[in-house]
Amino acid sequence: MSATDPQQATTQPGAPPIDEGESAGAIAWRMFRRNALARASLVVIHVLFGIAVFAPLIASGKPLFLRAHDTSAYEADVAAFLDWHRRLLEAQRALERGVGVTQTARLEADRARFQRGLPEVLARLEGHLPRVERADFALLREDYASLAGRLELTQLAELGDEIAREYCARSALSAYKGVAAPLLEVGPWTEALDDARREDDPALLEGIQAEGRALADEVAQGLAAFVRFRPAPEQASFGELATPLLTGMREGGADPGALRAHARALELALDAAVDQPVPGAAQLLPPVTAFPALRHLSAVDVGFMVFYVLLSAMWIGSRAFKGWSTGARALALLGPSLLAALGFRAVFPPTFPPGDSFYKALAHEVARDEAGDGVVVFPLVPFGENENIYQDRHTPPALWEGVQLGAWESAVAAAGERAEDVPRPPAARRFQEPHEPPLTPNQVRQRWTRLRSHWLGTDGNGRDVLARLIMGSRVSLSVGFVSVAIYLLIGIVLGAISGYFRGWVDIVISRFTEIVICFPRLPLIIAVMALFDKPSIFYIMAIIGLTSWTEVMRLVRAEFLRLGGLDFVAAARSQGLSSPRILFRHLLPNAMGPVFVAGAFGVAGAILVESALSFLGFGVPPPQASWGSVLHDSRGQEQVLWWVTIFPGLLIFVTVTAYNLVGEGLRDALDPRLRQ
Amino acid sequence: MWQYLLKRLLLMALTLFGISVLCFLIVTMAPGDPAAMKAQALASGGQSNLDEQTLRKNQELYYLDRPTFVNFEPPTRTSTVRATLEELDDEENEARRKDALARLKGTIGTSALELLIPELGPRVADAEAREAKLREHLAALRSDGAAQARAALGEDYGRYEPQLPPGSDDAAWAEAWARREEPLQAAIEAPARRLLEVLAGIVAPRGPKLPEGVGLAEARDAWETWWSEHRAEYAPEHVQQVVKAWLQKGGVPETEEAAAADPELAALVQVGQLAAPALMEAMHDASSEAAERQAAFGLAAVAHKPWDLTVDAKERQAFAQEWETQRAARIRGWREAAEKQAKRAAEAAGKTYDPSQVSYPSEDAILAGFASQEDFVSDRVAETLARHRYRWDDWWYRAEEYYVDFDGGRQFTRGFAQTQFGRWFSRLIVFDLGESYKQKRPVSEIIWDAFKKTLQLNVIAIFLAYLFAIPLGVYSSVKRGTLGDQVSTLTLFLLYSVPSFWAGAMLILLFTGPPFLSIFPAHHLSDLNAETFTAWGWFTDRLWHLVLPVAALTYGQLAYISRQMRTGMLEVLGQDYIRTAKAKGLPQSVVIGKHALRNALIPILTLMGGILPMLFAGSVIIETIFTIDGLGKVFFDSILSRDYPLIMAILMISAFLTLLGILVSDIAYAVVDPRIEFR
Repeated sequence: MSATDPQQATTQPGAPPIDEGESAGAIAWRMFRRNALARASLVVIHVLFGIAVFAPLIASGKPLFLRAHDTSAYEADVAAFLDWHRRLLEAQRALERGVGVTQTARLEADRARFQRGLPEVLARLEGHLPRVERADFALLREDYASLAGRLELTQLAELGDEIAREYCARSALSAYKGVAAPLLEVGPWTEALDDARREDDPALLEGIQAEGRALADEVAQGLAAFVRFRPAPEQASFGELATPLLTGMREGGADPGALRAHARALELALDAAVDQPVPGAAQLLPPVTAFPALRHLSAVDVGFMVFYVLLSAMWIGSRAFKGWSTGARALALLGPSLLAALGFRAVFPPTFPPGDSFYKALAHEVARDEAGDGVVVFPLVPFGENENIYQDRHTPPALWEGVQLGAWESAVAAAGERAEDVPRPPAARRFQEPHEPPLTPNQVRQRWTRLRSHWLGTDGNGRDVLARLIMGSRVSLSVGFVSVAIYLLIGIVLGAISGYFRGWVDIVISRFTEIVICFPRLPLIIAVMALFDKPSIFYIMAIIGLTSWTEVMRLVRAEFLRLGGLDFVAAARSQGLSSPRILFRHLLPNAMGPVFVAGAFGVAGAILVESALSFLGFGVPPPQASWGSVLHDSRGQEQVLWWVTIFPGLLIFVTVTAYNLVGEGLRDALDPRLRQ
Repeated sequence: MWQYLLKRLLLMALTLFGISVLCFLIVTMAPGDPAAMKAQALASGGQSNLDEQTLRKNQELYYLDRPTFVNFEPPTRTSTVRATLEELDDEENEARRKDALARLKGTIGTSALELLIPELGPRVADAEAREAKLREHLAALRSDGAAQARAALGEDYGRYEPQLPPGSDDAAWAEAWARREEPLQAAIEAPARRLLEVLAGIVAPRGPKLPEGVGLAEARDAWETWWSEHRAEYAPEHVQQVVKAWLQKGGVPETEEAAAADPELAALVQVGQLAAPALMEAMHDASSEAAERQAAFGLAAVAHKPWDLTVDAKERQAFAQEWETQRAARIRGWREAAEKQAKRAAEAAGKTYDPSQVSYPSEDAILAGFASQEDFVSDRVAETLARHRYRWDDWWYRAEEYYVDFDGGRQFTRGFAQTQFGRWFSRLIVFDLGESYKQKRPVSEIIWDAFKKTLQLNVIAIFLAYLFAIPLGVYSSVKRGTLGDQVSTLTLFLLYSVPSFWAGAMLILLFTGPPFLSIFPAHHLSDLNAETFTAWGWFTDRLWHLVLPVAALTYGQLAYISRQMRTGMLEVLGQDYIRTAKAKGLPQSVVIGKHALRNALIPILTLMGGILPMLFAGSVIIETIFTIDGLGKVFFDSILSRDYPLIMAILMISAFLTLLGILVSDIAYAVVDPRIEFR
């Protein structure tokens, strides 16, 4: 009932008693506002709806704002360029050598594909480069494209090497390849050197030594590119490792065995370094700015958000809208909402977003890169509805986990020497990576960041309970609202018809109503739901709506029977007004009071039914969350996952209570006997 | 008042009919092919790949081959025989053909003779005509009209058309067709031959003796002569005589040899299925069990069904065996339970378990309440007889159409009876709810077992709810506006909003094990070994198990009733007669307890009618949470396994109970409150 018409809020509490021009609705609204509990409940419901509407911005695995250096895309593009460049050259060389018919066709197709595709890859690569380098790179790129078109092999190979050396070096992998390839040649070269010495052939030895000098140059060049963006100490340590090898190779008098050992040591150091991204290299790439959470909203989400903001504004500042007609208000609410929704869809076509784990990894990277200026701002609850973090399953609520950690810390401190024997809390296990020495309490504290602590814990699949509850509020609240709207409509129409026309129509409709009344509601709904192969939230709404209208029908019928005998109806008839006009303009507005009350209680009932259905497993289909289905996830392990049992139920309880209180308030306000 | 009651009851019958239609609609409107789904549900126990025959059998079993509400052409003997003959001629589907053959020979039998013999002539004539035409065409293939003849042959016998390379000459075609002469002739004769096979099957071992490979015309002549000679034996008068002779015989043959030598039985079997209607009638009208048995035995012989209403010595022995097994199992179970208990006791006391120290209960104690062998066997015999009777009725509902040509009036009623709804409803009105697909037990039995448990829970819950709600309501209305009233009203209001499934889960969380209290059991209504407990032990164990589910069922009703009580009481307290009573100087206790309470109780007591269905709805949740095999859990399980008879029955029963509740509360209201007028 957050949408209760603000138009009726024309009088304030404590205003002078009923003056003559006050409408029945305004009186009821004034009475309602006097009831503090009901008013508070209305605010609670409004806030809950706000949470539901803004849920994707409150709880989401996608960041609200993101500025980061996208190293992974750069690496991918570099790898693509190097690979395609190599294969283009290979294809061309093979063709020049001459091969069989079928192979020729294949190679030609390959060559054509690479010729077409490479400029595109290069353009992408250019996008990653800092602005100052782009002009130079663009020249190289054009040269490369024209050469690739003409297939000037030698030049093309040189140009490709230059691009790789100068512009791909920020990629750890490509730089590694640049040094690893010549380094691998060192082994065979030393063996050749051995052989040449044994044979004592000066000419051969001379040739081999010349080869060694060239190889040493290649290694030195590759290594320079590899360490180019690395910090000075690392550069120095690589220099120390490489110097004996390079001097040995250049001078030619070195012992081959020692050279091999040096080469091996350098190789190991490179292997260790390549797994670490080039520190600082990321900053040399321009950062990417994005708003993933906003970007992946749906048009309906946006429309509802605008609607909600406008509605709240109207409610809070109701004085400002005093003179507005109902139509104008509706237009002011619906127009901008629709425009926003349509506009959003037009500007941002739907895309497939990367998974929530991608953003988590990115945030992790950004956090580790202390020197960097990357920013990742997650929503308040940084978890998606279905983001299951396997290591985090069975995590208790953060507060409780903190208590456990504190107890552990003090126990470890007290144990002193025997700290190993202190039993470790689940949190310690959660952060323990494989092949890692057991974590100390301090390490666990450090890792216990916002991205890994769950306010209300996680369920058995490692999904954040709070995030699921927030996203689930959309299902639970909308089911309550929509299904009640459906059954109010059915109930009012049937009740009005049978109450106004009476006679046979009344008998038939009343008999039918009695038949429907006889079926217990929940079992009936379960039976019907179970018959659908693919349950969905819309079926739930429809079925609750189609089975629950009986009470409203009886209420409206009784009101119509009562009002039908009153003078104003007779007056309307004597004026010759048509039946529909009497029905809808004269009778219906006067019969709506009890219907509103039933509606408020009905929403509470519908929310209960939906939760019960989901709890029993007949509700929303599994990955989707609703309050009942979150509770369902704790079935059979209530004690293990006590937080999954307590919180969803509490939320349902609060919501149902709020609706019931609003219903009570409405009833009291509409009942003239209770008015003093 | 009686008029009012009568009117209400009549309306109730109408509503009940509506309820059954709606209930039926809900289940039949299930998306997907209901026949396949029901068959799947049936088969999910064993085989899951359904062939057409199984599907068809299931369809027949559940009347799914019939229209839903109105059957415009209810089948009779003639139409059934015709339809089956058509199926017999289905060249495409061999399984269907075989099925039709078996049905004609085994099920419809002699009843079809009258209709089948005249069929023979036309069929043979048709075969002859076609054969002549075939020969003509084959001859023409070698002459000038070859192309024409080939086209005609291809049109008539497309299935047998030879595949020759294009450009083959006429001689090659003639050769190829000639090679197919034998199968072509077989195909031409097939309808007539099949009919002959059916006829021979029906009257076997009688009928004309025909040599192997006899010509069609000869066979027809032989059969027609045979029929003219034996026609009288299948005439209604003769059938009646034979049936009468059998029924008046008094006593059925006990052994198979005696049955083989029995002349009346032999005559009856010879008459065959033609005797079925008369025997069925005799069985229904039988004045004594012996007469019924006589008719059933005869019917079993002619209809080839095993339900002869006799339980022979072998079956009795099997029952006795079953009793022995159950008895042994019971003794073993009790002894094992005693051992387990001793083991636990030893563990608790810190001693080692000594098998020789176990004190076993005496055999008398174990077998207390266990039926004696005679009782057990006679119970089983009675059960078997009842099952036979049920099977006969069930069978006849459909089989009647094989043996009887109905007149207009019967056809009209059968238009409604021979439908899915008609079959279901006709069972429903005699309280036959069918058999569960999954458990293979009568639905009524399952429901009754479950209902006892649900009733236990709910009676206690309702009782407790009233016990606490009425004083609470009275208290808060009398002390209206005080702190006590406000606290209790708010508490009850909040309690009313607590979802029952959450309450159940929270009770389990808080009271059934670590890390919180571990006082009560979380599941079932009894301990697994409850059978071996003493009466007192069993009772306390049951109470212990009941605490949590009853609490979860009660609190909502408690809140609801006490709120109603408070409102009702407040209304009464505002009445003039209360003021008068107070003014008279009556003590507070009399004013409240006598004048106010009695009047305020009336609407509260009638609430009970409406509470019944609410409790059933609650049971679905609570029983599922606490794993209690009550009605709610059975309903839940039946939905999961798509056990349609069970779903329909439970929906029907709960709706019926609701209707009854409304009626009873209306009448009770009118009876208790003299201010209410009957309309």
